[in-house]
Amino acid sequence: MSVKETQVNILIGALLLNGFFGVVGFFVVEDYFPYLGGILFGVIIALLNFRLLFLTLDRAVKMPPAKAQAYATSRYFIRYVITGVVVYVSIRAQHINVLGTILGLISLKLVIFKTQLFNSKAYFKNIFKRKEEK
Amino acid sequence: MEPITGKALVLAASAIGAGLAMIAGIGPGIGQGYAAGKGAEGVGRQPEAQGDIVRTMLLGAAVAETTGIYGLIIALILLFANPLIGLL
Repeated sequence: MSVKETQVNILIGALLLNGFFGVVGFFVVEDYFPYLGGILFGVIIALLNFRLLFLTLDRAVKMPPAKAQAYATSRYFIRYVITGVVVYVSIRAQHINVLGTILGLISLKLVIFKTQLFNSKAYFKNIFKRKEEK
Repeated sequence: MEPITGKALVLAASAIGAGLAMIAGIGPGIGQGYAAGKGAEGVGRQPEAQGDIVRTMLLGAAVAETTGIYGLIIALILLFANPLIGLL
């Protein structure tokens, strides 16, 4: 699978997962629209950060190792500050629910786990299979 | 001298807690930098594997970055939306 395909898969997965969170929130959360706004805000920033991460790494691998190390670390802190501003804004703004934003930001990790790590049914079957069984 | 109130104590402890939580943000930065350095070495050694290297590094770095975000969220909530003050 190419890097572009991986990114598209993760983008689609993140949108689907957050759509699911949005639907579940409709039945669970009292104040629905701030929650939905939070999810939307969170997932957009998470996806933009993910794209920024790709651009950083794509550029870093063409550099000398020592320079790549400093470059990747400095870019990480820029993305970290962006995330910090986003969380701060969602805490301060009344019309955005901070829990929705956090869910949107973190959903990317769940999508990566689902699409890249736990993507084989045989893996789940083998968990409950005893080694002595043939 | 005024005695220390419960609220002031909670706020002071929250500020210290927020500072400690921010330490979690340093680790992924160092780790990502280290991975990028090794990735650059790998691409230098085997240029045709660049796509695979970037892809693996991208997924690893994205997962690692979320760990830093956890600490950041805890710190910001302790500072700006402290739930403990309401308990006093």
